[in-house]
Amino acid sequence: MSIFVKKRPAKPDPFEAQTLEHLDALYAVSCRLTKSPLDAEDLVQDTLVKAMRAREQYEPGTNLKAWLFKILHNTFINKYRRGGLERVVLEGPDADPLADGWVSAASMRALRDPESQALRPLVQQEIHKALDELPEEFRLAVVLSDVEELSYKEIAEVMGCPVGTVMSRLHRGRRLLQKRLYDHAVYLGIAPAGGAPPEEAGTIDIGEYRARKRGLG
Amino acid sequence: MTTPCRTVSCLIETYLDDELEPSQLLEVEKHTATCTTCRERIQLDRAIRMGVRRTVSTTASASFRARVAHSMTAERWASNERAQTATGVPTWRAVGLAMAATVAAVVGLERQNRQDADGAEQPTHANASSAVGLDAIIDQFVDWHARPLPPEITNANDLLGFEPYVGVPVQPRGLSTFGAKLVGGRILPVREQNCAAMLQYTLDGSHRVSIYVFDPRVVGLRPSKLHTKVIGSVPVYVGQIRGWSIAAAERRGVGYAIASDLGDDASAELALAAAPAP
Repeated sequence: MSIFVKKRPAKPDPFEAQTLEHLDALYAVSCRLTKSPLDAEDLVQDTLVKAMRAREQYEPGTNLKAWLFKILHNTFINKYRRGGLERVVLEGPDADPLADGWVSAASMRALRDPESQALRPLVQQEIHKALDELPEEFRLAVVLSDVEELSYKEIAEVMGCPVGTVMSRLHRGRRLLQKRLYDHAVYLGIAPAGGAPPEEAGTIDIGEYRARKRGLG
Repeated sequence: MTTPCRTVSCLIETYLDDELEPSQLLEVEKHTATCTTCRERIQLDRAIRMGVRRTVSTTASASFRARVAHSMTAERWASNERAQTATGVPTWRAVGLAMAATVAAVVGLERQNRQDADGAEQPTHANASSAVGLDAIIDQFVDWHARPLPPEITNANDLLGFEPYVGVPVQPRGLSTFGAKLVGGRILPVREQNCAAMLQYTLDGSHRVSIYVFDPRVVGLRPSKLHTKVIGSVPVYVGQIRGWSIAAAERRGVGYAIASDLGDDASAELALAAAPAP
């Protein structure tokens, strides 16, 4: 049979090779989405097989990583989340106005730079927990922005929503993270409780804030 | 008049995301040059982002990478197959072969093989250097048994497709006399571009048995971790590795290895039984 003597391909397919360069990123995001390394592997595997099927739809020159994340997100929604979005959290009021209020410069410094490096693992653990507790859409937006460095526009494409929504999810996700870490720091005695707000500041109106941000997008 | 903190604080997040308009960028930079509080806010935001990055970043394991690469290549071959079927070009066992061939590709990719294409067609003969790595291969066999990858084929008729990649007949016919049922099989990389076939069986519905079929020139049978047992006049190498029983034998120029939860004797018998009937 002629097929038996066919030479093995010497080099991997270029599209496959480029796609595999993003495997760690896909796996990392997948771990945070599914919160389980095993599910994360399944999700990435499904994603990449789908990417192979849809490879003709990828436009060369555009961000391959963002395109792969879009498939990953869609696969995740179809497979793991049939219950629809967490509307209550997404559209409800902000969890705590403090998150948008002011913390003194000294507290921020203390929070950012704990005297002892030994505290770092604790902070990492706290970030891990805080991230996992974020509503899924906030978490994905934050990870795509802070870890994968996707632009607002790319995140909007991945998540299938307007740029303004991305900004709002990022903002709220990050505030929730900050608040959680700040509370943790207070608990550990690194930062003083109830950081005094500067005179001029006051609390920021979140509605006004979002309107401004959408204007930017 | 300088921009108030309140305005700047609204821009900090977008500033760090590198999405500000040039005029706003100037505004933020001018303000933070003199305002300690806003500078602290920026540094705190940055520190948290770094923390998130450290927390989230991770690396996929090598075995997962190999599995994914394999699925992708298999999918490409399957698509080609579909395309060929659609255009009426006849194909023969292409899916099974495709899967086998993809492993060869993955092996090439993973191991960054130094051999050229011609050299790759010639299996390495057993010599001093191959014997050194033998325990590592036996270890690998045990790992594959302990954490098996999903099978590529589940039909015994498709085993024929593995043969071009293993280089020896893959027909462990004798096993059926023990009541072993084939669960599935796959091709796995062994040393350079060579492959072994791994066949998974169940025995009495309660034992998992993995059988490896390989070219004994690639995996020379001089295992140091295993001890020799003579059954009839045939030497069988047996031992326990991480709680699993392993046995290896050569029959009619074909290498067989068994990993299972059975005892040494049963494994040794199975290793011999795996040899094709005369």
